[in-house]
Amino acid sequence: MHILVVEDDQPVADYIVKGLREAGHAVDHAGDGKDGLFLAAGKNYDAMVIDRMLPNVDGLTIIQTLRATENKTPIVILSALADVEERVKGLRAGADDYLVKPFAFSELLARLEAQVRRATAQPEQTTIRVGDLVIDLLSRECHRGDQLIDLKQREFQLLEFIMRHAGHVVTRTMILENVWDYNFNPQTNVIDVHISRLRQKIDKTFDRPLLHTVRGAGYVIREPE
Amino acid sequence: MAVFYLAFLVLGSFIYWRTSIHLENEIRALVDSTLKDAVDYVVLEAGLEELQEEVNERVEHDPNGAAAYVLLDSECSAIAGSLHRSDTLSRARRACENGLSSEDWIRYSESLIEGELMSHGFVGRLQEVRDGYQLFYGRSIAQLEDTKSLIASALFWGFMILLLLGGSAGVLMSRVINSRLEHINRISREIREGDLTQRIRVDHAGDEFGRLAINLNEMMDQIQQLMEGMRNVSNSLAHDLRTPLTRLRNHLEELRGKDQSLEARDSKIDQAIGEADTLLSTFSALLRIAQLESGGSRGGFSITSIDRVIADVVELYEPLATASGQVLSTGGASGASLRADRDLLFQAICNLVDNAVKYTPVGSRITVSSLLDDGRVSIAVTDDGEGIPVDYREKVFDRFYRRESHRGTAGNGLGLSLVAAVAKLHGGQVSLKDNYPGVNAVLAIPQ
Repeated sequence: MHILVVEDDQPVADYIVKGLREAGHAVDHAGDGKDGLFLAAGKNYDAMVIDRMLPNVDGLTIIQTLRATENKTPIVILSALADVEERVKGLRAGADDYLVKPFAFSELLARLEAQVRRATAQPEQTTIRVGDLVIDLLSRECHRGDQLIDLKQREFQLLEFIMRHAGHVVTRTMILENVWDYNFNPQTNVIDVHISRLRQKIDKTFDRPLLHTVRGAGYVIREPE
Repeated sequence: MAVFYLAFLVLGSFIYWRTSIHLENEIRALVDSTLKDAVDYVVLEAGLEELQEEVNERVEHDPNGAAAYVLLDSECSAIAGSLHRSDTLSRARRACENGLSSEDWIRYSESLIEGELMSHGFVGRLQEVRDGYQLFYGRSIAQLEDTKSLIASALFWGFMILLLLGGSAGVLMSRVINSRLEHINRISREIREGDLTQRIRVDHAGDEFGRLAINLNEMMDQIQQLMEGMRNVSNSLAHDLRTPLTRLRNHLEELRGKDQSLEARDSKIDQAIGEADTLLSTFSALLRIAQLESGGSRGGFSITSIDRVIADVVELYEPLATASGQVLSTGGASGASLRADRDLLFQAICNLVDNAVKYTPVGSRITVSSLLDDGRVSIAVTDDGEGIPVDYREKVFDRFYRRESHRGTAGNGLGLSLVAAVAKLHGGQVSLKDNYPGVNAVLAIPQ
């Protein structure tokens, strides 16, 4: 993917740019708002990471300007301001996601990729399949192979979320936000236990595990190579 | 002030003017009625000769009184009346010779001798009675003039007094205001120069200055609290973050060593990342707490169903509790709703449940319930574990406090600090009570 990073803090910018390049993406960097807006408006990017506090033109203004010109590129804002009002402001300005500093790079990457997937999403499907694991969104049934797996409502929602991002890492925060609809960083491994229960049901008795843990990042469900 | 004085003057002048006119009109009315009587007398009852007699009689009766008469014949010669009153006489004759009508009012002054020579104003007019004979009747306006000068004098002195009183009141008031302002200024200066404990003296809590002082003092209380809070945070930070930072550094140093397999290296790197993540999340939590304690914004508030949030917490934590050997369930539901920050409330309750799971032994029962009592919603996380010794119940809210026996467990000791901060943001409080056995942690918020 071609990604634009607009961040004035040099070490943070280096960190992000390097991480994104290592993940295989092409990255452009702007160190202030004016340059950032200039680049964003001029080229076609697949995604953008924009810091809220920038010299010359601030992050929110860049986003508002882009949206006003019909630019629909997925944007993740970085900000040191954590309260709900600021989130809402950021999202209202047109951002797709809002990440609070300090953050782990894996969180940023996972969210960025999730937003790009959302932007290029296929029309709504009624079933999702990974390997021989299938869930039916209408009947709320889960099958692996020809075996019906009994899942509780929340377990189904969790599996659905991870499967919608099949092949990509979802972080614990993303899970808490999307499956439980609460916004914060769980300190303990409370999510891990839910995942482990889910694993018991969908992976344990089958020969090839589909649900994997990615250290330091989160979880991913994918077809085994 | 000036406006007030001006208003007084205008009003005074108006009163003076209207009173004069009124009094003069009264006198004119009297003149009119007397002359009318005279005409009626001559026409209806008697004749000119009788009128002449009547006029002379009246003048004889009161030669220097308020009334002056002059009866003039058709050649304007005075034939009866106050012939001794020279001014009246000459005016009357002149009026007659000039052909003045009964519409023309004449004002003149007559000198009188009342012990001493005095001059009085008179007002009068001519009236034809019969056959070209005219009667001049003049009336003294001495009373009018007295009244006028009385009013003028009263107005003048009133104005003077007003000036004096107003002036002194003004000076007095501005002195009082200045002294109170000066006091506020002085205290503000002292605060600015660093003494945060200074407060403005409140003398009269009821008036505007009193209220201003009270508000400023409360503002200072909050600022002082904030400053102290920040100081505490920096102290705790320095103290308790050194350990994970040191550990992180150690891991990195160890990485430099030679003779290490790739797996050993990777393992050390993971450990280092783990320490760094712990540090990052600790910082986030600290920031959050600091933000909340500084009053935070209540902008993210919405109507929240407490039982819903509790159900979500229990549902989230149930697997962890079960894996840890405890039984987690919901207790009584109050059906209450609150204006609250849903995410913060959720996190606070999670922290309480998290603590219960961490610090109670295998087999304990943990219950989360809500109660609505007298406008207050109480959310209780109750367990039947080992409990917290009474002396530690306040300390556990200090940042980073971990009881010695628990120092090894995961977490950063900020959990309860966050709960306390969230409680405060919502205008409530959190407390830990003995459950005999175990702990009853209660988050109470007014609706």
